[in-house]
Parts: sequence; C-alpha cells; structure tokens
Amino acid sequence: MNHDQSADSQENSPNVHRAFCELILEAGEAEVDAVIRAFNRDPQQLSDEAKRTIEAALAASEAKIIPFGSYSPPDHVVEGQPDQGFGRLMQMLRRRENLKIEELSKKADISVNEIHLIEESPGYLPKPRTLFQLERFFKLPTDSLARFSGVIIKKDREHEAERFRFAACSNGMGKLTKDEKDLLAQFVKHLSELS
Amino acid sequence: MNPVCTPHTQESPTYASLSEARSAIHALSGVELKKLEAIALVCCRAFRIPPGRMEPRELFHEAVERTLDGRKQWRRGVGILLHLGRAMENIAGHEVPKMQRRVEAGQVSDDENGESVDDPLDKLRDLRNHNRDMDLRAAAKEDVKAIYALFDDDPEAFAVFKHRADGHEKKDIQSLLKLSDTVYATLSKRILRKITSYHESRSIGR
Repeated sequence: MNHDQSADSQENSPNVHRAFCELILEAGEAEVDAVIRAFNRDPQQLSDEAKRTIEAALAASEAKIIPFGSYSPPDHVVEGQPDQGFGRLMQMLRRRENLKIEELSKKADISVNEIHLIEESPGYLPKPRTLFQLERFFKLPTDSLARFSGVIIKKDREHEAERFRFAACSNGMGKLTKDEKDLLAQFVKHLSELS
Repeated sequence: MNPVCTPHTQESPTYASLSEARSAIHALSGVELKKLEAIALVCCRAFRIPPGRMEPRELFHEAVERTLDGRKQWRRGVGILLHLGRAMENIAGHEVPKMQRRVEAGQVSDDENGESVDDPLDKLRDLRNHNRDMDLRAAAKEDVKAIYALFDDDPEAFAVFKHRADGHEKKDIQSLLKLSDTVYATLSKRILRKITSYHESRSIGR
C-alpha cells in the first residue's frame, strides 16, 4: 500500500480511531478483552468499574441532580458562591483520614485533578459521580455532599447557615486540630440529619 | 445482548426519550460495558488526554450522564453502544480540550460568553494552546501513518479499514468489496489484531 495515496485520510486522523472503535463494537468478547489488555488494564476489573459508573449515573439521574455546568444558585444563596465551604470540607475529611491527594484519588477512584479542583477552586461544581464516590469513601449519607456542594438544590436556610459557618473556618494543613475535629464531626452529623 | 439497544421508532420522530435511554443504559450487559470501556481507553489515547485530566472511566461516565440528562440526545435508529461511543469521542475530541484550556487559563465564564479579555497573559496562553494543538495534530498524523504501515502486507484488510475510516458501514463495505460475511469477519478480526498490537506496543513501559 502506498501511504501517499492515503494522505487525505491522514488529515482526518480521528476517523481512523473511530473506525477502530466501530470494529470494537462489532467484535466478540475475546477480541475486546485483548484490546483492553493492550492498554495494560484488566477486562473484568474494567467491566466492574463500568457497572459502578452506570449505577452512580443512574442513581444521580434518579435524584434529579442538576447537570454539571448548568447550575444556577437558588435565590437565597449568595451569587458566585454556590459551593462555599465545600472545598474546605473535602480537605478536612481528607486530612482526617491522613491522606494525600494522590492517596485519596486512588482510594476513592477519583482523578487527582478533580480533587485539586474541588479543594482549590471556589465555584467548581463536582461531578455527580465524584460526589457519589466521595460519599461512599467517607461513609457519608447518600446525596449529602450533593446537597452541600449545591449540585442538588435544597432550599433550607438552616443548612445554608451551617454551610457558611463551615466555610468560615480555618484552612489549615496537616493533621486536624481539636477545634477542626469538633467542627468537622458536628458538620458531618448535620449532613446525616439533612439526608 | 441489550434488549433495548435501538429505540422504537413510533413515539418520537428523531430522538429517544430520557426514560428509553435510561432503560437501555440500565440493560447494558457486561460485554457491552467492556466494549464501551475499551472505546474510552482508545479515545483518551487518540486525543492525547493527559493522565489525571480526564481518565477513561470519567469519559465514559460523562457520556452516560449526558445521555441520561438529555445533553447528548440518543437518536432513534442508532444503537445505544454506538451512541455512547460517539458521545465519548465527541467529548474527548471537542469538549475536554476546551475545558482543560479554560481550567489551565483560570477562565470559567468569560470565554463562554464570547467576551475577550484584553490581557497579555491570555495572548501567551493562546499561543501556548495553539502550539499544543499543532503538536497534537502532528502526533495524530504520526499515529495514522504508523497504523497504516501495519497494513503494508495486507491490502485486503487495509481496503476494509480504509472504507471504515471513510465512514462506510459494514454492509456497504461488503457490497463495495464483494465480501461474504465470513470473509468480512476474518478481515475485521485481522484489523483488530493489528491495531491492538499497535496499542500494546505503545503501552509498553507505561
């Protein structure tokens, strides 16, 4: 085959990958497993992960979670601060478990980048799957983080007050101080009651 | 096999309802999930999404989520697997790079409204993004060249693959190249094996 003859296709390389993807869809299980192994991944493990992903997405859609990126704060929430305190809560929960970001990423099956965004970017709205994974890892009630982050909007003035009180706490590093531990325990209790 | 992999055509002329999409996704089998995960792996590598930016499982989740909430509408007559596969390709190819650029540049909303920010740093970022786009394009061309080279000694398989890349469907290719089901299946397996081995060689040492 003369490669020059296919120069036009080289200009449109996504089509080559798309063709491969379509062949994967038509392939049998053994061939698909071989493709997955070629990426140094375990087919069964990936299939299990995919099942969990589907469960999380279906659960999130059942809970009528607002899609990522289309959030607008309710009238009683201060504009521009939809997730005030959420990053801090995540950071304190992580520190409570004595975990580095990379360790939490592995254990909770969330990308390092997203944890950075949650902890460090005010206004970042986490994905429903991420919230689901975090709730599971930190053993928090279902949807509690979704409500807290603003992904699920619940018009609850008491909750808002708690949220802003939490947001105002210190932003420390390393192990939690006694005050931080108390505040965190109190807030986690509040989240449980909320759900 | 997924019993509701293709939506019924009577209820709505163009797109399946959200509940139809929900049922189809709920009914995906283990093998079908593996296929989708394999496609997520291919998409992340093909579009060179850096590790830690968006993992294949997140790409898959994003495609499922957008289908469930209606942002990616499931067109009637298209199988759910093909729909989700194309959704992942679309997200990886178009939306993730944009999202990354916004996050890296610290821009969240201004760009979306089309308002330009007159800042020398933005120009520098634009230049950097442009350079990265050029690098990606060059790398993609290298990819295609390497994949095509796999078919140097196999013109029959290449013909099928080339038609596939040009957007032809299985039945059209069979008709164009006068291939029986058996021959087409054999050639498809050969193509899969070749490209799989290419990805395997790229995974070594990763």
